[in-house]
Amino acid sequence: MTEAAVTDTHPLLFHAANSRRLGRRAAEVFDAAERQAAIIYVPAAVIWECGLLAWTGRVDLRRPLPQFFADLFSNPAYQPVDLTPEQIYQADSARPNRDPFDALICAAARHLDLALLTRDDDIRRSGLVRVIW
Amino acid sequence: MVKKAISVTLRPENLLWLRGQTHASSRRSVSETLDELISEARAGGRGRPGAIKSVVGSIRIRASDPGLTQADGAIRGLFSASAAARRPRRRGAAQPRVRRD
Repeated sequence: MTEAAVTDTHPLLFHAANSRRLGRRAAEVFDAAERQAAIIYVPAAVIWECGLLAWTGRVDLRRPLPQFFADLFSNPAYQPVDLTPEQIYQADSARPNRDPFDALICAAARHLDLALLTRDDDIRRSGLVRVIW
Repeated sequence: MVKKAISVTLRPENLLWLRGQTHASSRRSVSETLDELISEARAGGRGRPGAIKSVVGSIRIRASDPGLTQADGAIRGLFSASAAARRPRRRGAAQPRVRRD
């Protein structure tokens, strides 16, 4: 069982929406986090993407963005990852595609030396991080 | 709440500070002080954290794109529209006409 991983934006939203679209192995990690048996790190870029998707109406968080994450982080199995200059340098030097958010999320996973929960094929193909889905 | 015993290693000055905090706050033990400090850190300095809340099933994804397949494009669209509006005019490009009365 994976004890710790970093999440991309869509897995977190699928989990919070109780969606069946979450990959089986990623769902196992989220289930373990709910039981506080695994740690899921949430990069700052994921927090912002959630905010932007709420702003564009793609998702309805049903409360303000800070409250959603306050609820999430009330479970110590979910922990935010601050964006650091080191991560930005990593994102600048190795990107899976032209999406700056993907680059920052991969950099967070590389910085923590953990697998990334994502279904993103660009990220998988890039080989920058180990992918769990 | 059940607590678990662990062994921790601290620098002497931190241990001294922790003992001082324990004494000053009338807590029963260094462990209790350490546990409180961690609770406060988790709460981001907002005092004692509340109960753990699960976010499962608490949000809705737009029915027209339940797989969020258009999400990246929607976000990119926000920035490309913004960038286009701010993009500086190239040299040699037609200048806006200024009306002189």
